[in-house]
Formats: sequence, C-alpha cells, structure tokens
Amino acid sequence: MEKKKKAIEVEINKEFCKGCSFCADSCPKECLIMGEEINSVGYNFPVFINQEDCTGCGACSFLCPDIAIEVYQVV
Amino acid sequence: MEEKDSSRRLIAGRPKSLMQAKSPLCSGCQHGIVGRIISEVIDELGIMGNVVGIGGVGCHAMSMFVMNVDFVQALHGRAPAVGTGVKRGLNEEAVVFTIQGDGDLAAIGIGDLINATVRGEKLTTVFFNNAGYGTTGGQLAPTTLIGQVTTTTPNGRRPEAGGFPIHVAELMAGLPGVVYSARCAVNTLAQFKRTKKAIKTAFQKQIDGIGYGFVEVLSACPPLLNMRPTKAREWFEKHMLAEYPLGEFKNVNEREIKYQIENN
Repeated sequence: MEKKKKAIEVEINKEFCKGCSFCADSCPKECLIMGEEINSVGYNFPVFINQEDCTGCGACSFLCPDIAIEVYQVV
Repeated sequence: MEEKDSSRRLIAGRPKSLMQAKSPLCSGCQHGIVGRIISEVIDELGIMGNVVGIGGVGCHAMSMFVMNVDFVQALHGRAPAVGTGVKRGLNEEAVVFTIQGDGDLAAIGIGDLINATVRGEKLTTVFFNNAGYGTTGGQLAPTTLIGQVTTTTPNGRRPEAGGFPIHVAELMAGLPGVVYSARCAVNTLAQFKRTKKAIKTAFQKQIDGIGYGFVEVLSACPPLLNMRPTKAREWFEKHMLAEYPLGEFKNVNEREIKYQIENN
C-alpha cells in the first residue's frame, strides 16, 4: 500500500530576495529555479516549480542569507 | 520556531531573535546565514532576554542591525575586551558573545583576542572568515590565501611580501583558557547543521561557566573575489576548504591546569 506524502509549501518573499540563487543551487530535487521576473530593486527571485518532489528538507530556507523563504508542511 | 496556523507546521523560517527586516548585506554574502544560525541558537537556548552581543567593525557586524537582542559596538578589534567588561561587570549573569571578521579579529584585534583567551574569559566568539577585508574594498587580510588576488595583492599574495594565512581556530585550541574551538562552513545544508551544533556548544560552555568558546565560520565574499554568488561558492569549495580544514579542534569540560606551585 502506497503511503501518501504530506504536501510541502514553500513561500518566497520576493522583496527580501537578492538573487544569489543558493536556494535553487542547493535543492536536492531541483524544485526551485531562478525566475524571469524581478522584484522592486531589480533582483531575479526564485520560483517553486515542483511541489511533488519536494522532501521538505528546508535547505532553500536554511541557506537563504536573507531568509526570504519559509517552508511549511501541511498537516 | 512556532506554528503560524494549525493547518500547517513550520519546518524552516525566521527565528524570533531575528527581525523581520531586509538584510543590508550583498547578494550572496553568507554572513546572513551565520547570523540566522546565531539567532536560532539564542532562541533554542532560551537566552534572548539576557544575551549581549558585542559587534566589531565590518560586514560581520551588520547582524547587529537585524538581531533582536542587545548589542554593544566595540572599536575595531576590541570586542573581546569590551566583552570582558560587560561579562564581569554584569557578574556573569548575561551570556556575552562577540561577532568579528578577518581584520577585526586577526589583524587589528589579535592582541585583544589573545589576551581575552589567555585569561580564559567566559565568552563566546564567532569569527567570520572570508579571507579578506570586505567592507573597506577587498584588501589583503591575515587570512587571505597564498596566490589570492585582492586589491592590495593584484598579482596574488606572496609569502615574501605578505606572509602566510593565519589559522585562528588551531591557535585558539592551544590555549588552556579556550575550552571549545571549531571551524565550520555554511555552503551546504549538512555544513549548516554542523555550524549550528558548534555554535550551540560554544554558547553552552559559557552558560555552564566552563570557559572561552570559539567558532570560526568560513564563507566567500562575492565582491572581494569579483565573482557572482554561485561562482564565489565554487571558488570557496575549491580553495577555502583546501586551506582551512573543518572540524572540532578542542572540546573539553574544564580549563586544564598543567602545573601549579604548591605551598610557595
């Protein structure tokens, strides 16, 4: 019987982001990519593109120098 | 870290001791990660109300402006001396830590650091090592690697003219007054977790009244290296980790007295 995985929500605060891409670089499942849109000061911010493979490891949030990412698990 | 609402649980977010404010640092600067780790440790140890940070001068000190705890700014390099005054003046009731960078700790402040650690003060120091002077324009620091190009070593650091990189964590481990000395990094999630454990241990040594706790955290400064954040991280993984080995160099539970004159 397959166990259903609880969904992970990744919230990105685009105004805090400085476009360093540490989040996208350190995601083990490649769930984040740097987007084409820019924030009000000109930085490209990441987009969460793959919720299905996200393991909720939190690397994107922990390695963000600006804490522009929050990771939640739906209960 | 607390739950925002009952339908979901927060796995990773802003610690309470870190303000909801934009970081004033450069894109790709890892000092923000270390500041966040210190805030998480302060939250977990429950010391937000009685911790005092001593900021030095430099980019590392930017944490002062985003951390929700009391801070004193010291003159360049004098944080261990100011920390000594605060700790002893408050009768050791506060948990006092210093945050210092390459110039602050290893150049102008090396004397204050050595004196505080020789005395074995009950302090905690987090040393932000990014192999150069970021704030002042990317000059050579005592921690710069041989061959590294900086604004004052345009052809790379040469030992004949500029000496050798100083390994502060190993130096600290050799002093009896220092009870904990480690070197860490924050380039991967695994290293993030090790750094947090090291900083928590260093704080605990002070809370338990044992002695000086020292943690050196390596990072890459994108403007110093003249590289974009991703390239700076690659440079870091290739060169910084080759020069400065990671690990715990000392972890003891009391300050050792090797020899003592009896009944002089």
